[in-house]
Amino acid sequence: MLVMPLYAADGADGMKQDAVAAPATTKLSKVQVRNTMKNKHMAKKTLPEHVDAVDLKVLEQRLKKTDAIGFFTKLAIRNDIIDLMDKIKKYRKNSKLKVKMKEVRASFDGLLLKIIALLEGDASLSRDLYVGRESIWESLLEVKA
Amino acid sequence: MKRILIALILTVLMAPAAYAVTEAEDIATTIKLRGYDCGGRAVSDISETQDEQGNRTIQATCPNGVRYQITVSSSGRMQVQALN
Repeated sequence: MLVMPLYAADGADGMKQDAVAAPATTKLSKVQVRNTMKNKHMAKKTLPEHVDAVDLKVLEQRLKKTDAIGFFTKLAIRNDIIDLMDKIKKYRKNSKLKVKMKEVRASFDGLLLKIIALLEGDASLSRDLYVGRESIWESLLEVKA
Repeated sequence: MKRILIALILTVLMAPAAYAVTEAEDIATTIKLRGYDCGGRAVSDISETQDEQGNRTIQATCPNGVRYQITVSSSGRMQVQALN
């Protein structure tokens, strides 16, 4: 998404600033500075995932409102999503979810690819769904039985 | 910052507007999504009925000549079947 390059730019600037400040410190603090930089870098790497998680509701609304796919197609997709959720609930109930995880993930990937392919007339939504796929997957797994 | 703003504005302006599908294309896509062959992007000869319980029945003919029936229950469950 658009947010990601902004974080990348911030990260690059932050690294430069830290590198400039480093020569004035002792050897031990150099290591500390390096660790801090590593932590900062890792924290920034995880940030876009949180942004995606927040955007899930928006993505859902955009999918409902898009003109790129029609009413019946949306209904068919909705049916497929409900079927997948039922499958997850069933496996969880039988304590088989961990064993069947690969199969469920394959179904999810197939369904997502189908939706992305259908959204050829709404490229931005298609791209955002692809970027947010891990958050969507996690939210699907969080659904209670 | 200025460059980022310009990039954002350009991205928004250059993004193509979402293409709206017609009902005929929508029905053809639905038939294909359920694994049936349609032979084209849009159906023709669409007829629609609705019963008292709110169940909808749509019939349409694909470019390959096969006529399909789509049944949508009041709860939103959908079924597709070939008629010939």
